[in-house]
Amino acid sequence: MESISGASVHALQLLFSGNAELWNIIALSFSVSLKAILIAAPVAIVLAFLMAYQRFPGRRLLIYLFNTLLSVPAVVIGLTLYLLFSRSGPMGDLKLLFTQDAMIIGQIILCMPLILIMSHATFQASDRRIWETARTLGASRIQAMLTVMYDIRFGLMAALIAGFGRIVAEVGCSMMIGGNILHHTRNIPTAIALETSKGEFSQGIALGIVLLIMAMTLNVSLSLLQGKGEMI
Amino acid sequence: MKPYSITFRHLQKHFNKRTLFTIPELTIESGKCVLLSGINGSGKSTLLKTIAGLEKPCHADIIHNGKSIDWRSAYKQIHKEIIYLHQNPLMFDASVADNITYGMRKQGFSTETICSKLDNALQWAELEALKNNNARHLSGGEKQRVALARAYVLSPKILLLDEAFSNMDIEGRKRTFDLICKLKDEGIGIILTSHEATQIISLTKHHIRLENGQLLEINHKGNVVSNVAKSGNLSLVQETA
Repeated sequence: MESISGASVHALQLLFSGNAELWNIIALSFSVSLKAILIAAPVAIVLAFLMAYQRFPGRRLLIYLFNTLLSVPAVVIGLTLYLLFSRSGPMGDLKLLFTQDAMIIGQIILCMPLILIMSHATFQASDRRIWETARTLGASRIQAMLTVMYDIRFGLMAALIAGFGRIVAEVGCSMMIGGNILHHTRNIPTAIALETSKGEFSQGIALGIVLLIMAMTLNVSLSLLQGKGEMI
Repeated sequence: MKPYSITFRHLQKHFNKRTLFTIPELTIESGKCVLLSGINGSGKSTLLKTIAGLEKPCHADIIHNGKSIDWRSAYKQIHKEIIYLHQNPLMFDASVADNITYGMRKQGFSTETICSKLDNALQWAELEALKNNNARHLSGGEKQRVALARAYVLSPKILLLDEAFSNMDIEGRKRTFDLICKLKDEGIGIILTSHEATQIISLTKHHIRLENGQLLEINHKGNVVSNVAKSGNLSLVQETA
């Protein structure tokens, strides 16, 4: 077993030498998580808007449901999808198990409640006069909704970043339904888990550094954006 | 301006099992200025929002320019013809110019029309110097002028002003008052609300009061006129049931 400092130096060497295997894992991880966010975010944000601005039957039930989903562990979602997608499962014919598509589905289910609940809270705190002013000035419902979203954009961005943070570093679901197959379904967290179990800390540390840099970049970007949108 | 009228019959609004108002008939016409008074919480703002299509009434039969139409159709028309201004106008997080052109952009006006109407509105509301300022950083009076200019460029038939003179200094009130006079002169129908009726009585010929969910017509002496019948001379009347 290498020392922590030795493994860290080796990790940096791996990162900066452009190690193909390592960068392939990083690219796959971001690709899967970005696709999941791109699919989940519009649905979650529009649903959050409807839940905050419209009254319809089952609205409260939806809020309870998404609050519950928020606290469901990733591994439980992974298990459920595994049972659904396995050969003998009800959706076995789709042959999704151990594919990137299955990982994307799992990550959508994981991040959607978080984005929705955070967006819903942001919409609830928004000024209803934005919607009313937009509507009375002749904006369509969709245009008025986009106007409200623009006004609370920093809150919505924070929800997206939190959602992305949750799925890009999630291991349970990706491991169960992705299978951790090299060049195919191995992403950053599953690779870290595997390399650590093998005692190969260098690659695990390198991937951990990437996750830390990503988290820091996202948070600094959000802070810089929010700095401009200060309270007036 | 072509004469415009919209009538709400059996207009009702309830909130949390409480009846906010029940109005047998309410006719609003262009070119008239009406003062709507009432104590705080009497439902003035809700009534104006209902007329503007921002609140759905519990019941209403609508006659638009002489034709009976359902709420869904009326709702679409109302959004193009009636504009409601909040007590504290909401400014979008953008420049004064962007705020004024918002409605025109959303309604698909041509770029040339938008530019010419913007220049005209900035001059009309004396906002040229503030054109590029963020509208959220303006004073209460300036915001009210931006809100009036934002409505003015859309040439509404009816303008509903909710406590337009509140939270303003004397200079701000005077400028807002002048702009409302100009709008009135252009033939736009105006309904103003105030819980201090004496403040703007000189601007309006007609005065109605919302009291206990009923709309009452008030004469120039401040007395309630009973058994108000629909009259061609009144821009906003309530027929007794």
